[in-house]
Formats: sequence, structure tokens, C-alpha cells
Amino acid sequence: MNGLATFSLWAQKNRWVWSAIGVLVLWLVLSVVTNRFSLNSLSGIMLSASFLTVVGIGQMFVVTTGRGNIDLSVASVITLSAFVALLTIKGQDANLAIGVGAAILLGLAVGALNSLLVVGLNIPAIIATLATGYVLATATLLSNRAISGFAVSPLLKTLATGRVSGVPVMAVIAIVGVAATAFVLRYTVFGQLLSAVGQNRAAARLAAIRNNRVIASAFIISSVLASLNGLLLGAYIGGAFLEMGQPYLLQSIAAVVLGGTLIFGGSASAVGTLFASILLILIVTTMQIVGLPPGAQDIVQGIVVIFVLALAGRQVLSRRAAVDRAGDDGTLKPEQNAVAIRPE
Amino acid sequence: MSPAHDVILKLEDVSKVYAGTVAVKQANFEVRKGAVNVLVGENGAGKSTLMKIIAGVEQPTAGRILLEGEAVSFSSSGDAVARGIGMVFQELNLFGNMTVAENIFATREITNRLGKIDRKAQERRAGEFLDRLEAGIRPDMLVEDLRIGQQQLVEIAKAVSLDAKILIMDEPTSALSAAEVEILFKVIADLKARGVAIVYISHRLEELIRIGDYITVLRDGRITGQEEMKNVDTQWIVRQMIGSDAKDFAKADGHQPGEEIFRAEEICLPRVTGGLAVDHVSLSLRAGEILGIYGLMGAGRSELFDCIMGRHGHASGRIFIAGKLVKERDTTRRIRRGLALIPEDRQREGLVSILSVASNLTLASLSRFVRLFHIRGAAERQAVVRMVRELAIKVADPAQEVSSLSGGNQQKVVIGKALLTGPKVLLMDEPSRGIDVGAKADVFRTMRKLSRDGLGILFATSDLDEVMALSDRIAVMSNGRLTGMFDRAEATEAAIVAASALGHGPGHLAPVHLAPVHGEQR
Repeated sequence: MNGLATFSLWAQKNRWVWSAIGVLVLWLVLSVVTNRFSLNSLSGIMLSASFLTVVGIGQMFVVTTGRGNIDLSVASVITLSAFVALLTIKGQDANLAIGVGAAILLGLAVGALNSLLVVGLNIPAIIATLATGYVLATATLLSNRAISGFAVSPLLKTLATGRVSGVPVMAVIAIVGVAATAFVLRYTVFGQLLSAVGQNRAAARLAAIRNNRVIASAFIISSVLASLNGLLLGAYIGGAFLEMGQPYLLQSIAAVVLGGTLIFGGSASAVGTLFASILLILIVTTMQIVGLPPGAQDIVQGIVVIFVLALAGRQVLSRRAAVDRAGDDGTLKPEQNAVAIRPE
Repeated sequence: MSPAHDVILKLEDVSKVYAGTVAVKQANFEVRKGAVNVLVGENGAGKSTLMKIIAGVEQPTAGRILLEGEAVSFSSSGDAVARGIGMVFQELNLFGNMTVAENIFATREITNRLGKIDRKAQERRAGEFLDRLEAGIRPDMLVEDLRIGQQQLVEIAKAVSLDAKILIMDEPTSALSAAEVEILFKVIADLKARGVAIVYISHRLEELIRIGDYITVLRDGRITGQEEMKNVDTQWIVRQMIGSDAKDFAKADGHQPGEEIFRAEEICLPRVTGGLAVDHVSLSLRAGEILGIYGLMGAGRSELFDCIMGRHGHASGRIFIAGKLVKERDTTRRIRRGLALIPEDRQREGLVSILSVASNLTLASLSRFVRLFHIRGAAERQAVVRMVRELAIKVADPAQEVSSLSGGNQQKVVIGKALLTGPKVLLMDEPSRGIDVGAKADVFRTMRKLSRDGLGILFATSDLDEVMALSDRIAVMSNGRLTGMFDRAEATEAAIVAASALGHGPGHLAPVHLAPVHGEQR
């Protein structure tokens, strides 16, 4: 087996590598083409990507439970959470605990609601979470009226915008989170159950796995992460505005699929989601450098998602076909011709 | 019954009622320690339901379960596992993206104090079970990279690793090669020696007689016979199952096949991983002829059929119907040219389970009943009634949902659907898979009748008796190739088995090994 074949086999099992390669290539190209591109701008990209990663990780948990599960309410959760944080913290570090508590509570509540709809009432996730998102959007409108002024607690601001020797604090948070997630997925029982439920729900049930609990916890994780992200994002931009979470809807899904998590469920890659988030932000940055309008940026991102899904779909098909194949090629002993064996 | 083995589990007057239908009626069933307790019955007789009750997947509507003399009730399969009852399910219940070891230890992962899974330990323990199966499966292999037969062995290893006191096996051999069956039987003997009670369900009667110690026969949810295996023979089992001595196979009626109706030349289907799944297969079929294609799981039979039906765009080769080259490459137009396929997987590819029997029957031929924009109800109904009568489909009302029928009758609906397209050539992929003896005989009679009417029939099977009894000619496939072609008169079991093992790994399928399985013919 030559090096390329070995790599392609390895890459098939470590799909995150594609987004990592994408990041590397695009960054190199940008560095060469524009001389103003530097390590410093990379740290800016890391900062933006960190916010996306947090939401993306949550989305990844939901997608991994399979059967088309998806969380479309993340955008509204982010926005509402940013407003709730503003209203509760009021720019005081003293209120920070209450604010964080409120954000977590909001995430838990929305996650529980999504789980109730999807697991309890068997409503397809795509509709249930879309509806939840709309309900939250209304709540956001109401809280928008209650806002008196924008003020961010200094500590939160440090978390969201600060740097330690050039490295954004937020990026450290995201990377630690990704590492923890990767550990959970790979080395804990919960990670195994999540993967099992996503791959074969019937088999999981027969293996005495409580599918519903696993799926519900994925939705709750997604909402809580989105909510915490809203809190930090609000601190980062120094306020809150309607629709501020909106870009994260498509981008979080894009980060998940681009990172090599199977959209059909059962296989997740936290590292992939991190790299894919960076790649997506890089793509957006590239388009800004080129001078494309925001609308065109959405178009490109949409195309990237479609392209990746088309590619992933093909890969799954070819993999299925490979499984259906007859024997193991390694032990195959080809006959020269189709020899007819006659009875003696 | 002899008290040679102690009863470990006892069902007393257990009944199970599903919305209106009684699946199990007052069953009294005893499972004995250190013995193979065989359970047979037609499809829909209630075997699987009974087993699911024991395994805790279903709860009985009435009756008691006594485990070692103590009344128990299981609310989930987890409860049953906790009490030492394991089950190998008929359908594969594995997670493809996980390794063999991860599958074996799913839900009972070995973890350290921090909750971190100890993969090394899992793989070591899994290796111990796999070694006993001698199938060359490594614990770190991904399940989706295994052949179906190997996957089934993993399923078995998973159940064995539970250290169960009672192990239920629901058709464990359906996907195994003859050599793998031998291994399984060795494992079963080993478990028996350790005092495990095995409940064994299978449709393969020779198999049951060979390894069973006690036999229980179910019919229509009732237990109709319970005996020690040494006191019974095949005839007895069949009698208990269907209430009378049924001939297994329809006899040949001696009609002569006509002109060549179908010919395939150099059919090839590449594999994604390189090599060919169907390797230059050429064969011809005459009108009124039944050509049996024998081969082990994965020999390429189904793939050949798929190629002929135009289900693979990247397949190559030529096919001819009545001497004319078929240029159409898609399934729809090939059906119009007179090809029809009875797929192996009835549930997934043969039927739309939420539609009625009638709708399923006319699904492939609706255009024949259409005038302008609407379906002529009368013509459709007439065709449905004709098919139900001709194929003797047991259904009270064709408007009934097809999923309410038994396996054999569902299969007849699939056949009826194919026949309504007016085919010249019928491809049947494992037509008797998962259906009971009575229904099998019915399906075989139907095949005979159709061939008498001039239809050319290609049927694929991995059942040696079946291919010997039904075919006018027998083709053997192995590893994608045609490795043998026999006339009925000259075919011997030994030659067919030898041809079917060509091109497999060394020592994996030595014919010597196979002899006992099929050697004890009645």
C-alpha cells in the first residue's frame, strides 16, 4: 500500500483532517496573496471561531443522535441569552453569578422543552426546534423593550475579548471545551451511548440503552452551550441586538458537517468542529478581503455546506456498497477462469 | 419427559395479546439447563414473541414466568440480562461505526474510576470470546468492515460474553456459511457443557435435529408438541408445525423447457474497494425453466440480480430477452421489457408495509389500470382478486394492511406484484428466506406452476436441499464468479458444495468440513 492510500484510509476514519487541511491551505494562500495577513489576524480569526465552536459543539451532540435530529433554536437562544444577560448583570461584576445562572437556566429550559417536543411528543426535531426558536424570538422582542442601556460586566468582557500573551482567552475556553468534549466522546460511557443511539436506535434499545435520555441530554447540552455563547457574545460586542444569533444557525450546522461529524448520526468529531469553525471564519474573512457583500458571503457558506453534504452522502453510499461486498479481498484467491467443476 | 436436565425457566399459561390479535395463547414452555431447547413453528406462530417475553423485550398479557422456581417479571431487556438471560436477535443489532470490542461491551463498558473507558481491557476480553469463534475477527476491527456472517458471529460473541444462564438464539445461522455453522455448534456444545440453557430457534430442520435436545413446536400461538429430540424425526416436526405431513417440495412435472428467453453475457460489477463483486458472469435461461443459483452468503448472487435489473449504474455486460439485446439501463424500463425481481429483503425492498395488500399487489403495474388520469378501480380490483386466488394468499380482505400478513403470505404478495407486471423472466432472491415450511411448499408450488406457464425463473438460494429439489439446472457462484453449472441429473451435493467454496480463503471452507452438515440426508 502506498502512502496516499494509507492516508486516504486513515482520513476516512479521521474525517476532521480535511477541515484541518482546509484551514492550513487557506491560511497559507491568504498569507502569500495578502501581505497584511499575519499571526495577529489569525488570533482574531481564532477569537471569532471560538464563539462558533461553542455553538457548533452543542449542535454536534444533537446531530450525532441521528434520525435527522438538529437544533434550529440555537440562534434564538443566543440572542435571548445575550438580552437576559444584559438585563440581569446590568454591567456589574457582582451580578455576574446571577447572570451566568440565568443563562444556564435559560439553556436548560429550552433544552428541556426541545427534548419534550422531540423525545416525548415525537415531533421531528427540525420542526420542533424551529418552532421553539420562533417562540424565543418573541420573548427576545419583549426583552428588547425592557433594555434600558448597554453595559457589560468588566470580568465578562475580559473573558470574551481579553488576550493572554496574544492568545484570546475565549480561544483557550473553546479549545479546553473541545478537548473535554473529545474525551467524553471517545472515552466515556456517555460518548459510547451517544454514538450507539445515533447509529442504530433499535439495536440500542435492545441493548437496554435508554435512548430517550441520551437524546434529551444532547438537546440540553446544545441549548446550554448556545446560551453560554450568547452571554459571551453579548459581552464581546458590548451589547445585544435582535437577530445577533442568526448567523450561527447555518454556521453551526456547517461547522458540524464540515468537521466530519456524520449528518446521519452516530459519529462525531469535536476536533473537526473546531477546525471547521476556524475554516468557516477564514472563508468569511477571505470574502471580506475580496470585498464581497454580506449576502454573497451567505451564498458561499450555503454552497460549502451543500458541497460537503453531497460529498459526505457519496462517501456513505460507497461505504455501504463496500460493506455489502462479498468477501475479504485480503484472503481472496482469484481463479484464472470460471472453472466448472464437474461431478466425478 | 426425562428429568435428565433440570428446568431453569418455566412459562406458565403465558399469553400475549397485541391490539386484537393473540400472538401467544396460554403457552407452557420449559427451558432446561445444559441443553439445547429447540423452538420451531411457522412464521407468525409466536416464536419470536415468546422469546421476546423471556428476554424482557415484551411483557406478557397473562401468565407467569418462573426463573429457578421464582416468579419474575422483566420490564426491559436490561432486567432480563441482569437475571442472566441473553438473546441473539434475528436481525443484526450492531453498531457499524464501532469496533467489535466496543459492540461486545456496549452498555457494559469497562471503565476506570474516572469513568474513562479501558479500551485495552475491552479488546483483551473481547479477544477471548472471539478466539473461541475461530473466525479471524480481531476485536479492534470496525463492525461495518466485516462480512455479514462475521457480524453474526460478533452478535453471538456479544451474547456469550454476557455469561448468561439462559441464552436465546433466534435463527443464529441464517447468515452463516457451513463452516461458520460448525464453529457455532462447537460453541453451543461448549456452553451446554458449562450448564447454560440454550433456546434455539431455526427454520432449518436438519440443523435442529442435529443439535437439539428438547423440541417445542408452536402453531398459531399455541404449543402443539413438546418432546425429547431423540424421539422425533422431521416428519413429526412438520406434522406438528402445519398439522399434516406436507411435502417439502413440489415435484417436477416433467414439462420441457422451451426456447431461450433470457441470456446474460459477461456481467461485471466492480467493488468500491477494487476487484469485482460480480465477475464476468454469463448464463442463459429457457422459457419454462427454473435455474437455481447456489452460493454462500456474499457469493454475489444478489448483486448479479441487481445488475440484471439495472440497479447498478456502473455494472457492465449485456443482457438479452428472447434473443433481443436489452439497451435500457434503468430498472423501470427493464421491468417493462419483462424482467421482474422478488428481492431478498421483503420488508425493505419488496413491500410498502403501511399500504394494503391490494395496493402492494398493483404497485408495480398501476399504469395498466390507468385511463387518462385516474385508476380504474374495477380493473384493479379484478386483478387483485385474481392474484389473491391464483397464489392462494390468505387474507380476509385485500384492503387489509400487508404488514398484518404472515411472512409466507407477504412473500406471495411480493410475487403477485411482480407477476402483475407481466414478466417473461422472474428473478427470485432467496424466495423462501424466513418463511415457514408450509408457506415454503406453497411458494415452491407457485414457482413450479409459473414455470409450467412458460415463465423463465432464476432463483438464488443458499439452501442446498432447495436448489437440488427445485432447479432444472443449477448454477453455482463463489466470490462473484460462476464456478459451476450442472444439469439436474448430474448434480451432486458434494460437487455443488465444492464449487461454492472455490476462491475462498485456504482452509476456511474445506469440503471435508462440510460433509457432515449435508451428508445426513433422509
